Amino acid sequence: MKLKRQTHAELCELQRRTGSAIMRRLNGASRMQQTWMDGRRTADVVAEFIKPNDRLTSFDRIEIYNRQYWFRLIDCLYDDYRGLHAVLGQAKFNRLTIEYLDRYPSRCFTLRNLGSRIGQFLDERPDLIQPRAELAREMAKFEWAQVVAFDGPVETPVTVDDLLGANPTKLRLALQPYITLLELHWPLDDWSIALKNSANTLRSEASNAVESEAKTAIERPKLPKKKTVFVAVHRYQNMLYYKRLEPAAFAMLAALRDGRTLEAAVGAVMESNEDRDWSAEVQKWFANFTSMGWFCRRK
Amino acid sequence: MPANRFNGFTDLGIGIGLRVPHYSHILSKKPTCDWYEIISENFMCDGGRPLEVLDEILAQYKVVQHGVSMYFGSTDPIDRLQLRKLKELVKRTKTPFLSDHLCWGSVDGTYTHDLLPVPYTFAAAKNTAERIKFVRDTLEIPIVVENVSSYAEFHASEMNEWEFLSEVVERADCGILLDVNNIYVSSQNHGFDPYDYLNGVPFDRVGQIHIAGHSKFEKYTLDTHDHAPIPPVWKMYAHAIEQVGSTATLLEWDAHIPSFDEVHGTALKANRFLSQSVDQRKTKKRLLSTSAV
Amino acid sequence: MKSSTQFSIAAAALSGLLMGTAARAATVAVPTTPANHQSIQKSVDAGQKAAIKLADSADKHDCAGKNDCKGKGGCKTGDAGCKGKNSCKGKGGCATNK
Repeated sequence: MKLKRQTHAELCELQRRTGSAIMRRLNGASRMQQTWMDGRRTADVVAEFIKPNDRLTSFDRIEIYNRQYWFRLIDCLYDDYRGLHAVLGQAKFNRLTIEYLDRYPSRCFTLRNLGSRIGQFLDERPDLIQPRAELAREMAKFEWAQVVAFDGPVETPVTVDDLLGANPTKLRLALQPYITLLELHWPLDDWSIALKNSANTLRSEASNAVESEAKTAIERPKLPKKKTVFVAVHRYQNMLYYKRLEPAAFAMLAALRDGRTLEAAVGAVMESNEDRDWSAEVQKWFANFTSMGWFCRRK
Repeated sequence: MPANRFNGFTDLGIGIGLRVPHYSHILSKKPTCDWYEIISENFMCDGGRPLEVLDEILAQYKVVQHGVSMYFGSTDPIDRLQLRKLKELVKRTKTPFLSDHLCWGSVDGTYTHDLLPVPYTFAAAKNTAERIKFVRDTLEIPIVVENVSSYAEFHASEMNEWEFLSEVVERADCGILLDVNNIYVSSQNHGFDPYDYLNGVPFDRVGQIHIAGHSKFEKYTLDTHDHAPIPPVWKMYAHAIEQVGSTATLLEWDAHIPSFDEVHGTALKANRFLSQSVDQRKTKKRLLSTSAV
Repeated sequence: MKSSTQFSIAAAALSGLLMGTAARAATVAVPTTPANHQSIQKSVDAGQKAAIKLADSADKHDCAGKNDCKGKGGCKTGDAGCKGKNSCKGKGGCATNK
């Protein structure tokens, strides 16, 4: 008897069913769920399209992919959000990543963007990050800023020609897209460095990676105490930096980023202290920022 | 068959995968290495350190791009942004050819980021071949497709894997990146003779070979790339080289990555088989010319 | 009064912009030697260098099978000693293989 050949529509449907099984949440023991969405046994559902072999059932075989899917994506988020992991602890971080991936599965070919909506998700689901919701949200923003600074796009910095004869009342500059300005209520820059240094020390001392992960969890630095800091997360010579800013410099850069003129941005500086003569300070800031290529033409 | 139209008529020799833990060694010591394979997606970014490193590597070494997300077997529309970024990278690296996997991995726009086995059907072969052709024509570069390790099989399959591979590459008129370790892993998981697979491959289309290590669990074997290839894989490699001829070979090592020297030294073991193959061919040629006289 | 002060600070900003731009142009034009590289770095205050960007220590994409997960917090026994990848570094332990 000649076997009926699969149609393209059937191929699409098969991929859809397989995808549903693979991307479905694992159970509490990190195994594939026993019950399918419609209440049937998962084993019966997957047996309809996956062959068993002499050692593994259809369920066992698709479970390898189901676990692999979650492990790969959770690891990717862990790599980008180790600070958030440290703030929340293992169990809460784990739950957060699962809920996040369920709500915002990857819609992009690159894993680089997998965690791009974590910040938004934390706003939507504060219940997952209590009692440190504010700290967790800031940590997530700070860590995503690092992803952006690490490999985000760069525009051609402004040149002398762009600036000669420019009128400050009309001149509008843009900040490089890889720079993120953050007002943080905890000194997360210092804390992140301490966290990474302790992890690196432990890693180099440990005889293998598994041990080092366990030690890292135990010996990480204590959570930071509250203190407001203004930080630009950026890269310089392709290395990642956290630059502390004076509140006035932060306000000025934020104004420029938001499209205000140079003169208006300077106004933001004056608002912080009208009596102070800011000229020398502002000149120094701009010389420094520009020497790092922070400003580009506004499109 | 080292240089053919599927690998851009290159004869690259023995390479290793370019991995982050080796960056500083490679950039500072500039060790001899015939070529590096990069995972395209790790460099499909807009700036920063990855591209800086890549440019430094490109100034010193030959680089070939290997992708993990084109998903030739998926039924989703091809992502134009991804293709545009890939084309930019192809221009940057001047890769002589491009490889990706004979698999699917996204459905309805959601990505699993895994290399999932395709049901071996004629509909899947047609779909896959059309996508390969589209990508090749857009990127204007030869493409070789790699057989994946798999852990599951579909009831819907209408042929075995090597028949499916042949069907796809004939329809697409593209090359093969023959992953010998993947054949071994799948043979363990599905219970076929890996030499049946090897002998069923259209050898004239092989443009590159992969070797790697895997992990054996109680009930299945996983393609973990976390140690050196085991002797049975080297034996299969020798057999493949015997059939295909001296072909660009690359060792993949992705987890528990040891020193550059250890990875490169392991890869260079392939030389033994490559030189044997050259000797055998010379002998064969000599015998043929003698018998002709 | 405020407006004229604001304008003079804006003029100072513009002069700072020109100074920085010129300094940057000079660093691009002059070939970097260890000596001038150091002096350029000294003149720029980039802030604190991040210890290591963790994304710089591992590749995001590879084509290896994954049977564990560092994000789950390490491995328990019974998972082939985590030799392959059957657990998760983000989840706090790996379940036992069947």
